[in-house]
Amino acid sequence: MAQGINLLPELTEQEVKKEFYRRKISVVSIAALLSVAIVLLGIFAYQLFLQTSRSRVEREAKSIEKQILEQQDKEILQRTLVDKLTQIQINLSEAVPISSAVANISDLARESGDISIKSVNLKSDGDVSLEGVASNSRTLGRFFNAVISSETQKIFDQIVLNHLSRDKGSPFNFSINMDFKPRGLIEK
Amino acid sequence: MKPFKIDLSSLKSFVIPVLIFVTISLLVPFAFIPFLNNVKGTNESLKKQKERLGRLSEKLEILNSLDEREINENLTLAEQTLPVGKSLAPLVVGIQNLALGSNLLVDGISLSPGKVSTVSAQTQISPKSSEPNKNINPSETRRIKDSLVLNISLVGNIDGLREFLAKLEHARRISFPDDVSLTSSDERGFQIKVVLLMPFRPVPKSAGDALAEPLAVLSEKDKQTLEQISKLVDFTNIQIKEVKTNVVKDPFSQK
Repeated sequence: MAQGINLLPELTEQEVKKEFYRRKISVVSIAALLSVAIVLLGIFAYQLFLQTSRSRVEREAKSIEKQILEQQDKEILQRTLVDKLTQIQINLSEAVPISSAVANISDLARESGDISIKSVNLKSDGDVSLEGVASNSRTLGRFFNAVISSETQKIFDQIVLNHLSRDKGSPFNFSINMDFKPRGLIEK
Repeated sequence: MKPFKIDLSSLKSFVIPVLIFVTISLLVPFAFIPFLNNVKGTNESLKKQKERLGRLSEKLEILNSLDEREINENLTLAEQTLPVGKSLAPLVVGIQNLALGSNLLVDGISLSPGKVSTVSAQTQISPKSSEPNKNINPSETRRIKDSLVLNISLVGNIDGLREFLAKLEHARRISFPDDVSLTSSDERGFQIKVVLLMPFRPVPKSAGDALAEPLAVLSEKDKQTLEQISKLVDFTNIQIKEVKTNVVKDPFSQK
């Protein structure tokens, strides 16, 4: 009866482990190199794609630019129109309706009776200074009551009596400063 | 003595992994990062180009939808309201007519020439062009620069003035009384002085990438403004006849 005899020396467990790790390191390093190569190739392909897209977009842009340039006159007209309308809106909304201020002052004097206006000064910021003469105290009282009434205060603000005087046998002289509130000429 | 020997045979199997490690270490800073930066730059540039293309397409769409005849009509209306230049002659005659129509007597109309001979001239004569002229108030400069200033002397009553100012407020060529003063004069009613600002608007200039600059369409607010100014009365549509003078138009022309 034959009996098998192992003539090769047995590998130690340490040597088996060593061989295993050696192979593993080689495989991992080659895999890493391959991965890097693949990533680099991927980036290169992406860069190529980006450049092609950019060229295509540039071509399209040039074609549209040409079409826009053909309608340049229309564009200039439209720009001028929009710019003008914007400016008109600003101007109309900021303007002080001075005719309304004059009308209100005139109505106040008229409704109070015998008040004569000596001078009026109206500024574009709404400042109004008014100098007038009242023949008697009753008229003056009526005028002042009208000036400080709630209706008037909707239109005039910061009403200040600057000066009130009367010489013997003369009418009352007064001067008032006010602020005209309404702004804008745009119809609502 | 036994000679000193190092057995490198055991390291032989690590040569390839080490070489790979070195290659990767060199590839990252010298190839990988510059390549990525390049890609990043191209991507950003593409993004910008795409945005520009979008703006251009949008603009072309707007331009195709616009009717040139309608723009011209609206612009004529806007031009009468806020002209490019000062349009002096019809303006002065128009204002005079408005005053006379309001029972006011025109004592005189004087004007500040504005941009050319006030602001520009004063800035140029200042010793250093970079130094702002201290004699000019900034708000006044802006006011004079953008507006024609008319000083109007009138004689009449308050009702006349009210009517005149109301007509100006409803006039198509916009104007703003900057200062209105009335002083009673026994004989003829009131001495009235009106400082009138008549704004004008030069053609807007575009800067930068003018082609891709977005083009605005008329908003609802713009349409309302157009509707409003169409209702205003044009008092400057006066034909001024040219008067023959002895002044030679072109002194260099050969007879």
